[in-house]
Amino acid sequence: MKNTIISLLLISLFACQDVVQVDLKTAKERLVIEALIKWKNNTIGNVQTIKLSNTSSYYNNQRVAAIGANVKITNKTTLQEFNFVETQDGIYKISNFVPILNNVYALEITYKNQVYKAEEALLEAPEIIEINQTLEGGFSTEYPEVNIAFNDFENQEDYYRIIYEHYRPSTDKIIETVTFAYDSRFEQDNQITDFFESEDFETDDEIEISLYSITHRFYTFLNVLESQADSQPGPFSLPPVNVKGNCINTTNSENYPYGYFSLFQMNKETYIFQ
Amino acid sequence: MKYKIVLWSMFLLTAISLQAQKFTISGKITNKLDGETLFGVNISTSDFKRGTTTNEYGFYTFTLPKGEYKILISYLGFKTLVKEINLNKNQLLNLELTEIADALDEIVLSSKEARIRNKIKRPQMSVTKLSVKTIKQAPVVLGEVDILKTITLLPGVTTNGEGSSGFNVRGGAADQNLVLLDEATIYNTSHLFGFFSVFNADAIKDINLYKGGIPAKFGGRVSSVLDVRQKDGNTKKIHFNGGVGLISSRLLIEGPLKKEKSSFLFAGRTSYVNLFLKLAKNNNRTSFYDFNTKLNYEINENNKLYLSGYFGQDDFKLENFFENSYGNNSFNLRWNHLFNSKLFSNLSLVYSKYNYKLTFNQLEFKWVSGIVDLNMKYDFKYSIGEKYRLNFGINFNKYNFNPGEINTTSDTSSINERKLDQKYAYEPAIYAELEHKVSDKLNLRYGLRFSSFYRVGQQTFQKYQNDLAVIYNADLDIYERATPIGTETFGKGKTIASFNGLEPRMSAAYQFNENTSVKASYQRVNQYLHLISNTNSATPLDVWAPSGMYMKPQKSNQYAIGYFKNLKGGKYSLEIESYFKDVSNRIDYIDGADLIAKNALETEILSGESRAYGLEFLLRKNKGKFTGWMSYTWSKSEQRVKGRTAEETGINNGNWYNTAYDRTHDLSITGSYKLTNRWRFGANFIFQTGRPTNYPSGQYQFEDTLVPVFVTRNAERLPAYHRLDISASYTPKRNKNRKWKSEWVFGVYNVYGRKNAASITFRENEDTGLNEAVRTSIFGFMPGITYNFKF
Repeated sequence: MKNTIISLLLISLFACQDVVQVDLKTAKERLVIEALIKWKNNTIGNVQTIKLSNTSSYYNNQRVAAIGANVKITNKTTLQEFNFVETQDGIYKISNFVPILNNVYALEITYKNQVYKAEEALLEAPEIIEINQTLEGGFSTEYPEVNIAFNDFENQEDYYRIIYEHYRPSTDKIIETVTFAYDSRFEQDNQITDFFESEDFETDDEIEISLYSITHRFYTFLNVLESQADSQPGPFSLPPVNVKGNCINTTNSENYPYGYFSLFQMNKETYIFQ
Repeated sequence: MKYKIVLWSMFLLTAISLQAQKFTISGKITNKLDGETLFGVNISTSDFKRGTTTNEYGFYTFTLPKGEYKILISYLGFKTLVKEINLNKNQLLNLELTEIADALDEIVLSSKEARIRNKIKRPQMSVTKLSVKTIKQAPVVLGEVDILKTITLLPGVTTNGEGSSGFNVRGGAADQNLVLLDEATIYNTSHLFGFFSVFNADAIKDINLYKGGIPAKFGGRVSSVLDVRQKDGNTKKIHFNGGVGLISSRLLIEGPLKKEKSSFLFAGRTSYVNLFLKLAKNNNRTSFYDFNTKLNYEINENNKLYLSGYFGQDDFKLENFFENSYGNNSFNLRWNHLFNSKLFSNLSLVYSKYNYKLTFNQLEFKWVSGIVDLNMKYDFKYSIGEKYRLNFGINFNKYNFNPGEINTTSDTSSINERKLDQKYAYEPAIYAELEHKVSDKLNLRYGLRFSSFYRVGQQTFQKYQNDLAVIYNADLDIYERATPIGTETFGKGKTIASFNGLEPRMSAAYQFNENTSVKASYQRVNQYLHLISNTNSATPLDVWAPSGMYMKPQKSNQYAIGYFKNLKGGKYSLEIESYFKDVSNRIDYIDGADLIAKNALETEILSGESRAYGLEFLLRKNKGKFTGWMSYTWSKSEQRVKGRTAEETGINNGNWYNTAYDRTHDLSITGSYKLTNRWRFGANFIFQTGRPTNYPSGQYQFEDTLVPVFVTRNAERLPAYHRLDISASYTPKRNKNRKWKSEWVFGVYNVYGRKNAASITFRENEDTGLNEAVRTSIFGFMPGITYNFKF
């Protein structure tokens, strides 16, 4: 992020940007698995969705749904099987999923005669212990921010994901959603604070905060994905990489998929801006 | 090695036995105007058959058989001096040369010839010497004279684009250049994140860039040596000069402390970008300054002391969010001692430091990192008769690396204070090198450098299963960091890892006739330090790391051949060189490597190799009203990380891929035309193959994020880079009695305003929802004006 900010500043000093025409090659089509099982606190977590799509050429902005797949999750401890049903093109749903903390689940997808697999444990989320609003904190003292606090799990390396969703009930609009992956390396075992600053906050706006634990691999995946999707110009940018997730093709490893399979408990709180 | 020692001893013995009836003249050559010593002055007999040059301290020694001689002393931009001597005993001959108003006039013909002939004869190849005068004549962005920008006009030298730090020599990385300012290592060569270099041209005497055939005296960086020498200071009278530009202003004062014996020099430069930012109501701040200083004191004929210092700093503030500062400091004490007319020595004690600080105001912590390098060098030059010159010496470095320290800036901060492990290392080296004139036609230089590197405690390391800090996940085909299985602690001063390297260096020049020669060279260089950086170009945030348990030294071989020719009596000169270079143990980074504030960097890196080859042409026009050069380079620079086992795929499937600094074609034309005594015009034209980059070859959505797909590394290229710069300098007429001399320099960078792509990125247009490519270009049409003065 530092790099990005520096490049942005330099660019604002000397540079200019314009849209240009660049011819791009299109690589072979691959399956994209978005299998994020979220168990919101104080719910039973029975309704879950998995989205399957295919990659397409860069200038094609349409999501290309992957239709007609068989999608199944198995709890490796209880051996209970959960079969997902395609309700819309590329959207697979289930309404009797049973989330159990720390149990290992296996995902199996059969699509176009290829079998894709992944395995992960369902992770516990830390509790949000405090939410407040201030003006002096944040990046700028001109704009208000919403602060949260939670306790880092002790004696282990932790990675979190925090999502702020800024919603305005008066117009029924989501103003902004900010998501990021958090590495607690510098705050090991401490109380962690974080903030969401915006110049658009208004009284009675709702800020929904979601917090969950993620694995190091998912943390790396999300970070690389984010830096790739939001590639900033300039010499400080990181070289892009072929982002591979945790799913494999067991029929033909050459046809590896993109995307990720992950399960987590999620603590969600809503703060009403004053 | 044994063989070589025997060979040397033989040469020494023969040389000494042949010494009868030979005498030596020796001394110092200085500029009559200001007493500055001159480096590279040619001293030769009138038939050009025998000759020598002054060393970096202006000292020369010349041995000839007894007899009467006409000695020519010639140097670019100075009147050639002819001295008749009757050589019947060893003599001390200190000489002063007179600068001529226009270095490029016809009257300096003989000086030119001697200089050029000497270049044809000497075994040193792949070197370029530029005087500050030449550098100041080239057009520059915003009127800021910049040494590093000028050297990129030479064949085999490129940068990673506008606004990026460092430079790349013969397909090497920016951290593979040894940059010396008065013998002190400079770890970061840029101000303002790469827009300007740290060298204040006013305080600089000259620069030498060794791209290959690096003398045994230098070591520690595999690609090049940029040897920058500061002026000593005027020993005759107090003198001021300075300049006012758009970005910064400069002032230099120099003068004698004791006339003709000792002098001082202080030069400072500071930027005022902040003023513009304030005016533009921009809350960001950025500024830099640097300060060069030098004192020298001549104790007596045989002893001279030099004290030099450099202090440079950049400060940068982004609104309320963070503050950043970084800078180099160096301090250097040198002692020139003449044992006798044939044995010259220099002892240098150098302290150099690079520090970096980042303060996050809102997150309530600051980050400090740096490197401290203590260096002792003792170099000797021994002239053995007419045919041999032996250079030998020792070198010792002690490094202290602070990879990072986190301190909180308030009591309420949730950040844990932490200090990453300090790293300590020693790098001793010895070398000896013989310059050998085999015949009138054949000149050789061969030598050996023996370097070692000791990484010492106190430090605690993580241990891994089978010593593999990075593991390969075959199912997912990704590299991931290994989980440590324990730790190992080394006590204070205890050796953690040690490396030794024999570095042979060889150069040969064969002269077909007075105007034509061929040269060949081989060098092996070891580099024990690595710059940890996975961004497209080096940044001030990057941390230097020493070789150790998990990181092996980079080792490089370079082979070069060249053809050198003077045309039309030295009016033109042509240099053609070709090289091949390989580097082993070049580190590369696993996908998604996290390099910030890590103790265990070994979990993020893999060891690979790199190679580069190319062909360089340099055609110079040396005389007349129009002077300049045309350089063209064709080259390739690649790297590769193979899998460590048959199962592993390595990076980019184990295939070679372009380094970020690979440029297939690189053409530079630079010229200077003197119209009258008042007006001088300059122009540069640059054409370069675009920088390797990555374009997406597909896209998908993941959680509403549009994710571009990248499959290969550096397989695409930005559009070609080209631009034209022009400058004009005007010297107003002045009253002869007034001491004040001034000059206006007007310049335009990128005359036809080409939008050269610094990068092309891809994004989803917020309005149309369509994906598009966005070009970022840095300097468009940029006029500049500078006012220079001296009195």
